[in-house]
Amino acid sequence: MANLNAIKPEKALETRALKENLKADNEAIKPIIRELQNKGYLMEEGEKVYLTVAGIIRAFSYYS
Amino acid sequence: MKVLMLTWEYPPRIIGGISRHVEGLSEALVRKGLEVHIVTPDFPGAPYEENVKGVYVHRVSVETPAPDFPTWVMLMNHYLAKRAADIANSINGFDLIHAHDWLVELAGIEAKHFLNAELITTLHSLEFKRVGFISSPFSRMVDSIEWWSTYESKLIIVCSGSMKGDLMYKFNIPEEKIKVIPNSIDNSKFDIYVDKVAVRSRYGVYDNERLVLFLGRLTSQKGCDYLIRAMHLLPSHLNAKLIIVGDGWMRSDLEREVFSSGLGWKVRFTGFLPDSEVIQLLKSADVLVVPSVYEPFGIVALEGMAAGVPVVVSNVDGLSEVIKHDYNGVHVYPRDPSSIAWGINKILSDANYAQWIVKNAKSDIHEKYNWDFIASVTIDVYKKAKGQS
Repeated sequence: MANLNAIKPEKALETRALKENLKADNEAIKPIIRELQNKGYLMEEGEKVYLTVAGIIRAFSYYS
Repeated sequence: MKVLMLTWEYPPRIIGGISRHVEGLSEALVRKGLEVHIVTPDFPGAPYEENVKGVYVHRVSVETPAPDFPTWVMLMNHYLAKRAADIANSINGFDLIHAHDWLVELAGIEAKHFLNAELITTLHSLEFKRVGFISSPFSRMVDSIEWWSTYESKLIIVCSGSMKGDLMYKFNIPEEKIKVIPNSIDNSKFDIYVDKVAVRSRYGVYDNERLVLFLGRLTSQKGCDYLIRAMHLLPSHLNAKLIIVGDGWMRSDLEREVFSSGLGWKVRFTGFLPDSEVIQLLKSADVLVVPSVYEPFGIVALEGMAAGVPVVVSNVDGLSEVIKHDYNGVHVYPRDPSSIAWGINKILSDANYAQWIVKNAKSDIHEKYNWDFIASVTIDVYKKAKGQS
């Protein structure tokens, strides 16, 4: 999601696209999104998702 | 002198140590009379253009989505270079380009050629030390860009003698092309009153308990897993609790290890915390542990020294240059939980020893690590690159 620039509401990624990228079905995607939300990494607005500030830092942490 | 500073992180985008480094250096360079323009990726909540303490900050949106991280880096470099060109056109060019690490090096090299200005590179760490062995296609790319940056740059800055040695060994770079300039921190941020009892209780650490603090990215390089294992080996009478501040790709694995090994009641993960909270925790801790496996410098050790908390560090790379064993901190063996436990116990068991360590550390911080001195030495490097000294 960081590579896809889904880091702001106006650049949010459609949940359907996230599902296809992760090759997850409807039931599998829900717990993934819930876990990321619980950890404060992800925001869901309608049918779209984007990374929070903590999510961006987490995503890029490997490369710094 | 007009300096174009390229970095992939600048506050409030704080991923590793580069962000703080570029901020402190840039503000100090401005105090010395230089004109500094930061060009960096955007971040939610931060303005695209601002002037902070005299530093011009230009944040760039990476407009094109990428299928993977290497492609994203290439695209980011394109947008940084484009913005640098626009700024150069509006201020009649730059005298010098200063790029920080491989992530922005392609923009730096491009800018060097289209602006006809000298390029200085600060390498903050090296891929072959981060991963141990260059094998994956990604590591081969990063390693190659690091080499290319040393070839294209007039001079290279590194933060420690050990990193200079690594660079000479890995890329056969002439010694005179590499300058060692240590990192620094803003000491004044630590001159605040902190209600230690209130801070400690906020994190579940009470009167008869000791606060062991870890602060850093949760990646294998930082060695937090060895510290967690060390917590099993501490004498129970110490009543030590570990607070882990930071985030990273290892967090889930570490949390799993903590809870499955029955340490859940004495280890707490806070995630990423704002600066003000980090400083309060540092000033309230009994010991700061930096168990890194690889650490070119280790700014976090300086932060501990400035906050007046005794530090226990792995005896590796730049960390072992900043911290002198039994003088301003304690050295322990890397990747060794029993050694880490020994170091923590040494500090927590002897209050006089801990006070002596802190006194020496504070004196070192004020004498050796301040941004105005670092900026002066950096300006000497700039002048040398431009043939002015």
